[in-house]
Amino acid sequence: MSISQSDVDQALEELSSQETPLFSQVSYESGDETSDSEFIDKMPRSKSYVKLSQGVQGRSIRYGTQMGEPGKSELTFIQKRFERTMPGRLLHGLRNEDSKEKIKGDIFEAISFVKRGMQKIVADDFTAAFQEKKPKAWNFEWYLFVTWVLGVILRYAILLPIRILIFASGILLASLIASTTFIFRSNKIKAFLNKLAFKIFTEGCVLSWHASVAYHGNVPKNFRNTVIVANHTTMIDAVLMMRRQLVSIVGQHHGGLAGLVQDTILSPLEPIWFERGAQKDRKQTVRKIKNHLQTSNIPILLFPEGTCVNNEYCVMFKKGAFELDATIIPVAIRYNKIFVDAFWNSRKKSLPNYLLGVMASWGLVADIYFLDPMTKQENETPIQFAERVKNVIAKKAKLKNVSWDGYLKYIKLSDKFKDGRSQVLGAYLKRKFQVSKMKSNTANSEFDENPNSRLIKNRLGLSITSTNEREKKKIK
Amino acid sequence: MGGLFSKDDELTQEDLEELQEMSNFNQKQIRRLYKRFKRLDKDGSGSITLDEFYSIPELVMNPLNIRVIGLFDPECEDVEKVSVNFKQFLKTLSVFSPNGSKEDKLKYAFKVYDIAGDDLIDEHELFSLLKLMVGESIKTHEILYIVEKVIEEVDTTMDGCISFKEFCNALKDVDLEEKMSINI
Repeated sequence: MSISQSDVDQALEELSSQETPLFSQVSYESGDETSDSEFIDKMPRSKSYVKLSQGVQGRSIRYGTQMGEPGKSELTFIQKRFERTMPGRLLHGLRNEDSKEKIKGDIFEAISFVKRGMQKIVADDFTAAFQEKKPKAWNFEWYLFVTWVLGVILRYAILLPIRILIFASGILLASLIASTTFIFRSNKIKAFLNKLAFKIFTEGCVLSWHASVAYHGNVPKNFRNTVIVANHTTMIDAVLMMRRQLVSIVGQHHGGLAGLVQDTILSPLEPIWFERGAQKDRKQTVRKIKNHLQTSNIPILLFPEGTCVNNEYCVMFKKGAFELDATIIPVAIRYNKIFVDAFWNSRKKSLPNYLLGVMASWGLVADIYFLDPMTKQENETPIQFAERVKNVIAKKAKLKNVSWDGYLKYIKLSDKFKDGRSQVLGAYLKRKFQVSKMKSNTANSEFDENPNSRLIKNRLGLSITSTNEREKKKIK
Repeated sequence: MGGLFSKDDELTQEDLEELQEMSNFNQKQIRRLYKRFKRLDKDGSGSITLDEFYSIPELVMNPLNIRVIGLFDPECEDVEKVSVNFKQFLKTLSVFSPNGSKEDKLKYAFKVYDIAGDDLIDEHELFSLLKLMVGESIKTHEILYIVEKVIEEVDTTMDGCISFKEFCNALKDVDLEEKMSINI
């Protein structure tokens, strides 16, 4: 019996729409008592986002190490949140990807699942999104090789030291100037000095990376109630943005020297810092953001992907930034990888290593496109709005659009989330075998008598059924 | 061959040649698959465990992921403890290469269903596999009914189980090359 593709589409549509009630549970109501787990999703992400308690390896946070990655307590919240909202979005993503493959109502459909599984083991979109793009080797001829060696010498022996010098002196000078603000009482002078320090800091950074950035598009004059949203590749993104346009970054406040930098040098940005660990502080931060949007002319900068991606893919945009009732200005950032791969793989390289790597390359070449402002339509949910903005940015920056949540880097997807095709297959099999007319009376208690049943159970992993339980076992 | 994949991070020419002989891949593909293997083997232990497989979200969502992973190490008694080294990795993927023989593909397709590995597919294995595939969307007694019907259709020797021969026969009209081949 033949089953049409439109049946498949319809079944998958029903599945996806079943998930929608979940989203309305977690829509943001201003002034409400929001639970912590809901908060995570509302919390906009930025380059130096939350490390709420401990670092991923259990170390306490120090500026410059493992920035921008979630901490243990945050991961628990995220895990809970996943359980609620993942199915719909993943199904949606899968549907787009595989809708060409037809499902036949056949018991041998198992073979297709296996094929797909093998294909994913060989190459999957999610892992690819966080992998450095492999540069093409070009130095295989002897003269090219010699050129390359000369290039290496030039970069490491001459350029690198100079750049380190520039970088260090930039920060030093900026800090010096910033610290002199304490001498003066006049706010005007304070502001002037901070602005000067800021300029020196950003220019120092940019010079040391030899960043050649082309800014395209129209930058509006008025930024009241505006949020700038961009794809995220590295911490450098924010600095490049700052240079062109003052942007209010949202991030974690550090102690010590870094904190001083945040309080003084970066103050012209009107940034929003939050203290780690304080849970009430999160609600306050959202209030601060909303307040900033109403009163300030400086736009807020947010990176909805929540993590650094390799500038070839664009992963899921979290909806927090899109629920603020603000105008969104999408910004697409595209790095030219011929000169350096700017992707910061924070699990592979620490921040200092990464920066040294950037400084030891020829230079940073980037294109930053300011796109037309977008607002949420009446009949759109924040998630749909986020998807819409994501499509615009991915298209401009020529990134592959995937629906994976960046946090899957840290959290294993619970195996409750099976491919929706299971249910579709179930429906087909029922129809094919005309199960409604069945007459079988086989009791399934017979199965336990089968001599192979223990082996079967073990090979199917049926002794422990979910990933969560597996994790719990490991922790014990 | 000692220390082949234990200390050295890279494959030597010798390794490559040996692997090329035992698989359907050329050296370029082998190198690429090795990179992929290393990437999946996060702790660098030289073998991929169940957890490391589960870091691929799309694999987690596949209802038959357990069987897919089981194919790499068919001798393994308990899938929780599965541990796949590069040789097994390559060997299994080799079957799925477009150059894989039809015979091998049929064998592995059979292995998917033959969970206990006794060269017979009985109703319990068929039931389990079907249950994995359809999840909660079909009730148990309905699945049992379907299992009965399938065995009726396919089991020509009437011994209650599906042998490899009967399996191949049932699949004779299926383009297995296409169904069991992936892009490497």
